[in-house]
Amino acid sequence: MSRLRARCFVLVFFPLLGLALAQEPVRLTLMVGMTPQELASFRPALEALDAAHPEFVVDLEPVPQQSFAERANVRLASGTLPDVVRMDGLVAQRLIQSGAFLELSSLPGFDGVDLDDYFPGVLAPYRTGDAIWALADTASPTMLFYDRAKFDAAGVAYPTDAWTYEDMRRAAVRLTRDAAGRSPLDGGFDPARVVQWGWNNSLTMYWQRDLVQALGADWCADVLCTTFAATAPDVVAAVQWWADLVQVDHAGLYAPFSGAQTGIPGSAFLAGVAAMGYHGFFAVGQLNAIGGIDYDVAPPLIGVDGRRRASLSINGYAIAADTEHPREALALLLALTSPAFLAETWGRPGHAVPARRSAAPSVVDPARAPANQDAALVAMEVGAVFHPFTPSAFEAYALTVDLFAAMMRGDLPVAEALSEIERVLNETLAGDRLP
Amino acid sequence: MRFGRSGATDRAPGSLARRRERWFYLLIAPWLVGLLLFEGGPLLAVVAMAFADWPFPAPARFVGLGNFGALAGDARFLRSLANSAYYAGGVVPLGLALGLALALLLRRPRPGVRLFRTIVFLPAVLSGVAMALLWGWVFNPRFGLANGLLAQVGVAGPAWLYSETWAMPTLILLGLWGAGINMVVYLAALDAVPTELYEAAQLDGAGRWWRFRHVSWPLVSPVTFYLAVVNFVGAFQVFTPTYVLTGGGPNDATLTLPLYLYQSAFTYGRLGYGAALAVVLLACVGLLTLVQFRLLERRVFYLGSG
Amino acid sequence: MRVLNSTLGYAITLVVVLPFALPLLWLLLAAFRPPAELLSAPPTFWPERLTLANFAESWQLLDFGRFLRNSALVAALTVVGAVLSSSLVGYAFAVLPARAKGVWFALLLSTVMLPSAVTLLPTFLLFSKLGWVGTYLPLVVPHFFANAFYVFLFRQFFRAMPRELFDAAELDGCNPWTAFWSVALPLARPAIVTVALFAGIGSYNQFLEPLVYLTRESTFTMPLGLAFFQGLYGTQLQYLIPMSLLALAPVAVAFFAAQRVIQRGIVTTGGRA
Repeated sequence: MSRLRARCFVLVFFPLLGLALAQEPVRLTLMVGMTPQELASFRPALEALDAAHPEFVVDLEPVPQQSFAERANVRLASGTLPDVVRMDGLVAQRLIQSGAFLELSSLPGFDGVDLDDYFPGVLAPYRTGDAIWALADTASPTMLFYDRAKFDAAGVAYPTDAWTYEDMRRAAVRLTRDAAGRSPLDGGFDPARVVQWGWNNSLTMYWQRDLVQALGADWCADVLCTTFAATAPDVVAAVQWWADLVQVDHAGLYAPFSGAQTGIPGSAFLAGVAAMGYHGFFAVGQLNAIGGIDYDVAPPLIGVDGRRRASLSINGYAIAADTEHPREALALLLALTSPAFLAETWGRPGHAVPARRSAAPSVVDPARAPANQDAALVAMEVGAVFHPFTPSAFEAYALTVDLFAAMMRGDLPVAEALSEIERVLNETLAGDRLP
Repeated sequence: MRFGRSGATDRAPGSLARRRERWFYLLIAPWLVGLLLFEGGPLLAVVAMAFADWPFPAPARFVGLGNFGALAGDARFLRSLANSAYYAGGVVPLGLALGLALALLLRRPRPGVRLFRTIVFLPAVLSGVAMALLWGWVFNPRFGLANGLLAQVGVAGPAWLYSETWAMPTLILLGLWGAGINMVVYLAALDAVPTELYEAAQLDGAGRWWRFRHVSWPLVSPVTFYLAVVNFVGAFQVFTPTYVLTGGGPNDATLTLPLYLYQSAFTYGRLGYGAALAVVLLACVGLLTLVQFRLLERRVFYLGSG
Repeated sequence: MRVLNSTLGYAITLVVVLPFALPLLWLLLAAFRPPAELLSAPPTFWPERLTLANFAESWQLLDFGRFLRNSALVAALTVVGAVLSSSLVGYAFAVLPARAKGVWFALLLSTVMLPSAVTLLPTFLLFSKLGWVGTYLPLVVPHFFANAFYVFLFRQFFRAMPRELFDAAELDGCNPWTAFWSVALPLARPAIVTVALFAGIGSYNQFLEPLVYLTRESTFTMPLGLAFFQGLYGTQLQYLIPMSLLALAPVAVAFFAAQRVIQRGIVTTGGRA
């Protein structure tokens, strides 16, 4: 009798055990740097994704965006990086070069990914040569934002998608106002008391290569933009164009974000003191949330060579090199970057534009401002990530930002400032150059 | 009081002192254990890092005194040291004086005094970022409260945080806005002063200034000394306002040593250099504290040591 | 004369308190203003429109009620640890003899001379090896091992008390521990309240340690929650300000209440025996 019971036990117990072990889901940690609004969209979408994938369970670790680098560095240094990490494009290369991530294209299960579905510029910071270390999920391209009310008040026609930089400049001058309501074209205009600027920026950091290229020059001497040649005559002329916008036309800003010129820190366009300017797509969400500005968008302006250019801020997912569950982590990563997930989670709410062509049109939402949202798709096609994005890029920025401001303000002649900028950049970025 | 219990007064003074010394080590054991477990290791690690070049995330390599040599010739480092000294030299004495004045003013239980004390204290408690942003608004050259008030009096206010000469004074003002902490410590200390001393002085016909100069001031000197040391240490560590408000600008005018340290270590990823800066910071603050102990503590009046 | 003195005193007090109050008042008003007023130029002192939406929306975006409770828990534990350990060590430094006491004191002070960001990496490695990452342990436990600032404060307070108090207790047969626990500590109420206030507030406002040690959103503290309103592309003042005020409110209330304890004015001279 007991032998029968023992046999029953064995026949029932071990298969159950096998079943249980086979179905034990793997715990994956996912670290993301997001705003609370993005988290509000992402959390439910992640839960739904999690429910649809019984082979893993996701523990979400949100990090405040501005502190992402600190958290990532600390985890990296202690070897406790989460399984999957979502990061922006500018910090990616430093982490990639430290060996933090798995190379994706060699992982089984990756071959199905259609890399051509991605917009041309979005994967650059996530690649080294042929290797792919992360997949982009969303991007925020720069577009031309303009305030319709200010254009109407000045009697200026709205920007079209045929506008060039010269068109912009002419309009910007007419849209600049001093405290007495005069524009630079009127007599008695007081440049010391400007209250409305035609253009929300000028050339204020070394990452704005596209603004120089649009005028027919280029200060990057290599592919990664780690060597600068900023003293050539055409570069000087291009930079002078922007400096004149500030100093001669009084229509641009040399301090676009600090508040030193406008009196309020933050974007001049959001503050309502700039008639138009380049802004990332993320400004759509901000403008709609704040309300009060009747705005529309247009694709980036056309340069002298007939080409349009835009800058991209991107986000992407990577897998930690020492993860214990590479297969499940890859499954999670692919699910998070699938066109369906991107369109559902990121497109409609207006956070950013999905990085894949098949999902990007979801960002167009006729139910909300602005009217011309298709401009975002145009901008994505011509967008390129800020160059350089190498490990020393931030340091190079910090060391040159004051020089740019002085140059735009007129405290330093353009040629002299560019010479110093070139020297500092080449020195700082020297360690990032490819042999 | 009972005397003559077994052995207490019968033992020779030497062995009593030794016994009490053993108790000393026993009582500071919590700190000693914590030092060994939590603090000692990391401190030593930082000192060790100072002798390496570590362009994180690339691996580290030993460079001996290389970082310190680079420091000596680094103009930005010297600037940051000068800036930190400027800030500390402004904020600490003024903050102490303000704290004491506020404590004396808000000492007596008048109606509304609890509300006033809370108002004065709250800025010190406000989260660093919110406070820094608020201060940025108050001292906004075009629209801020400060220049607005000055304009009422017919004075054209400076560019505050955007001006190289005024940026640091503005940060010092922000530091003074947090003087409520000093006030609280002084309030507690003043409360611990035995009232008989005041009564005796008043009976002798002493006026308010005399009572302050000869009763209050000496009796709170232990706390004054404490605040001086602690505030100097804190002033050399102040980070959030510079990080949030000025980023070290304009033109490095507010680049303090902690900010430069943070930038080197975390923003630029040069951990070895950052650690060397930390060692220098430690040495400076340590030296300053030592000087204070040597020069000032002998002038502190401890009621208990009479 | 006394009435004049009193009104004059009041006037001076008001003038001195005003610079502290005005910015706080602006902050309070700003919490109820629509975002368009906060983020556009020119910023004004008096609001044009008032709204409660900022509070409601920020409350919905992140679970600030939870963050508050978490912060309170961590702060309470920190206070207990800080007061107990620092008073003990401070008493030892104040009253007991030791040959190398100066050296120990110097070592004690040197531990707080560096900004915490400097020792962050090695400390994190330590706690990571212990498996404490993701819990509150790294935030709370170190405070049970005495903090130099609070030890120093207790030392000053104990040294300011008449020595006879403690000597008498020890002659009575108490060992130094009992002298501390039964005699010194009850008399150190102003110091205890002060340290409790500072330790609690210090813990409450701490940002860097919660940032690196806490992983799950449900465990986050207030400063960490507030930091989410600072994005890479701008700060959401319309949410940061109301929630900062919310974070401030319990502290203001606690401080208001604690004053009754400080104000009770303890006479510390034991010579009255």
